[in-house]
Amino acid sequence: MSIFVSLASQGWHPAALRAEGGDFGTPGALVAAARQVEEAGADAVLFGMPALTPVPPAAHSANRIRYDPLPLVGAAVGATTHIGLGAHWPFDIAEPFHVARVFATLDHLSGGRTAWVTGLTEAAALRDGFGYRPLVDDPDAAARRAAEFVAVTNDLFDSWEDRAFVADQTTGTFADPGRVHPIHHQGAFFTVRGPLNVPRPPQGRPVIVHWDGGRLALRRTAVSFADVIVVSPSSLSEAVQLRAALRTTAVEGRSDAPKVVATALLILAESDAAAQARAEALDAIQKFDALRLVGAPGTVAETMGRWIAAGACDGFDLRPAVMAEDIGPVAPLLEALRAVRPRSRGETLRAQLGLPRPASRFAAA
Amino acid sequence: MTRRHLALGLFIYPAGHHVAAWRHPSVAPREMLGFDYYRRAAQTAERGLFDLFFVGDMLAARERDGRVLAEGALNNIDSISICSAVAQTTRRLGVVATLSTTYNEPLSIAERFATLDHVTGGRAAWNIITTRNDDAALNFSRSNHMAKTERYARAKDFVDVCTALWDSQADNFNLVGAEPVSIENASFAVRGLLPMPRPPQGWPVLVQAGGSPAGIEFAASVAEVIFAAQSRLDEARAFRSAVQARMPVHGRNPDHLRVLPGLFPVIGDSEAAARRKEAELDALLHPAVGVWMLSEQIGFRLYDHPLDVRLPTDEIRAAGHDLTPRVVSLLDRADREQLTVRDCATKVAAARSHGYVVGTPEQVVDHMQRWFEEGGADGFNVMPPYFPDELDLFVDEVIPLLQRRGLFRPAYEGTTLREHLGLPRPSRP
Repeated sequence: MSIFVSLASQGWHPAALRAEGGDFGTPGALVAAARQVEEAGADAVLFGMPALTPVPPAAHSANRIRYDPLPLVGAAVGATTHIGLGAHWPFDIAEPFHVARVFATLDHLSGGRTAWVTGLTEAAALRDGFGYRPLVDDPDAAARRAAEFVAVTNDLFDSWEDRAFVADQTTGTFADPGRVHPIHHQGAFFTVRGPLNVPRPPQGRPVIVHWDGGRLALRRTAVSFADVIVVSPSSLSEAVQLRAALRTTAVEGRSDAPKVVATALLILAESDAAAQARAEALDAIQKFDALRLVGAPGTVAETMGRWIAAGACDGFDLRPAVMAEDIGPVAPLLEALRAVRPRSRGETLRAQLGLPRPASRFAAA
Repeated sequence: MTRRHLALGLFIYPAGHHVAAWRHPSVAPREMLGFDYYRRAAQTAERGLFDLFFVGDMLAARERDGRVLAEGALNNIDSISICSAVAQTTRRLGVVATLSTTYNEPLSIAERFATLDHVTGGRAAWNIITTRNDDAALNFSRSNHMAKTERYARAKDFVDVCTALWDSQADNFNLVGAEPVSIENASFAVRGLLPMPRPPQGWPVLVQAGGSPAGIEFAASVAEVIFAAQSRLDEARAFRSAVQARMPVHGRNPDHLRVLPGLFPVIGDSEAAARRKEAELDALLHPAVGVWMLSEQIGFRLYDHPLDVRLPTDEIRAAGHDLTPRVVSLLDRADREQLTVRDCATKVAAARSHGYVVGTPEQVVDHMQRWFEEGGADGFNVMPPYFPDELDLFVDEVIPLLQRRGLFRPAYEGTTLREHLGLPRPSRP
């Protein structure tokens, strides 16, 4: 069972800010949360979508404070030692070369612990802030662009074969030019010569976690490139169906199926009744509709185990409703899951998640 | 205003600033991609009370006709990642990350640097570059790199969008009070609101490098720190005065500028020992790397040129490339001293054309003091020939001497980078 914890400034329930006074959410607190979750034994923390919010969301919305995830992941590299570190970098505001350069860097600095969270961003941000036509307006084009984007970044990660970085001090050969490949990509959306100017990352390529967001055209494409797909089912039966569908979609050039991880709002307390009361108090401030795990750690662990046993998902993306209250109890929750999810520590995030390390596609050439 | 103390930056570079650094026996080249390598350098810089830790950026591999350069070390890996990571293991040291205005969008970059300033507690700076390398265009779906004047015009518009976004939040963050700002200029039309409190420093410190006329004008309009490349005091003084003279035109106070020329120190117990160290390093330099760097810098291909003939300066001038002052000064020197291609390649590659001192710690300090007191520098961006030994040497031998002469702080006084540098915190308009 893979456990991701998504970090947000105040929390994922829109009432989080007003629920606990509003001064949580500094970057320092986010980095401290990553450390806490590492100690608790989660597989990875995910840092949220860049905000790029040109217009304030509804007054009193809890996620008003949003930081750029990249410096947060960098900080987490410096503050943690073994947990996986993911960052959202949506397709529509990125260039493949930047994405490959940054994630290759982070993967080297962290010793192979990074994940790139793919997806699309909110429409308004692009329209106002960038003057672009948002990709969500044209789902098929968005899917085609995403497929091409990932093909380019994969080629850039692969452009240095594993043995290309020679660093032979005696002969003075730093890199083996025969093993560093310009990619010469020319497609409908991108033209990229390459090679990348960072050697191949420890994981070969960072783990690709696709954040589905219910975008169906993109989902069909993501099945071909994602190592992990994060979905938001509303019930156990829907989750079972969705996972089965995602795993049986025939995908060319791929032997395994992506892991399916379910997003759930996490509301924990010492007793089920206390957790329920917290949930009601939050909803009374602002209603919020999402799959949720509410209860004492033991109860929530039981529910999670039942979902896994039913084939509803391969893991969870836990979204603390209120960071200040729901990060701490992740430790007892994971403790309660120990019977079905023993503590383990893979050398890289891929190893930890049981994912293979991809070979460079240029290696045979 | 006369500043009492020098400002010091540590310019980090994989293996070191001598191009052959990675081949030095004390260097472990395979480690230069890992966090510990950078953590150690940053912590040493902080032990030496440096103002800042400076990381550059390149958006294309070093290559020649489609083949990566076999003998040359890497460029820096991504600077935002390095800076945010090392700031977790230091408390006072400023961090300077480099991002291009030519290949990015201002909304993303304003948020990235605002976040970096928050996550470092007010220790962040942005080295604003327009990217010189023509090859970068080919990695960003463009057939041509933007011309220099266009690049600088876009850079100014880009920075104006960023500062407006940083100012879109009040210093006293209020969840419901702020309204989005609209900024329109020749390059951008943006409506936005910084989705977080105003950065602790108001704006991250704005840093710039580049000494062409367009670069000077841009620097005078926005730069608070300039990473300069002059290798002679008279040139450095002229450059610093030129920028300061233009600052009032842009409504700026010339005191709000720190010019930090690059300084490549080769330190020994005696001058002879320092010379021996220099010769050892130069002997490790592969000629192909030197020629590649020289060709890149002068914008003229010398790959197939014989090494031991005089640099064809007339041909290079006639080729009419966009010659930077740094290149003009190199060509003049080549004429004056009758330098060969090999000589020039070695000179360019060894110190990457920055200020160069070979000698005892006293001699290094004499050089720094002279440049500081005679108006050529407000401080230096220190470029150790190789890491980590030569950085340790600088911190252990040069810093105490600077302190003894009253040229450098005995301890950190402030907590933010602006406080270290004595730069004002921008107030909101």
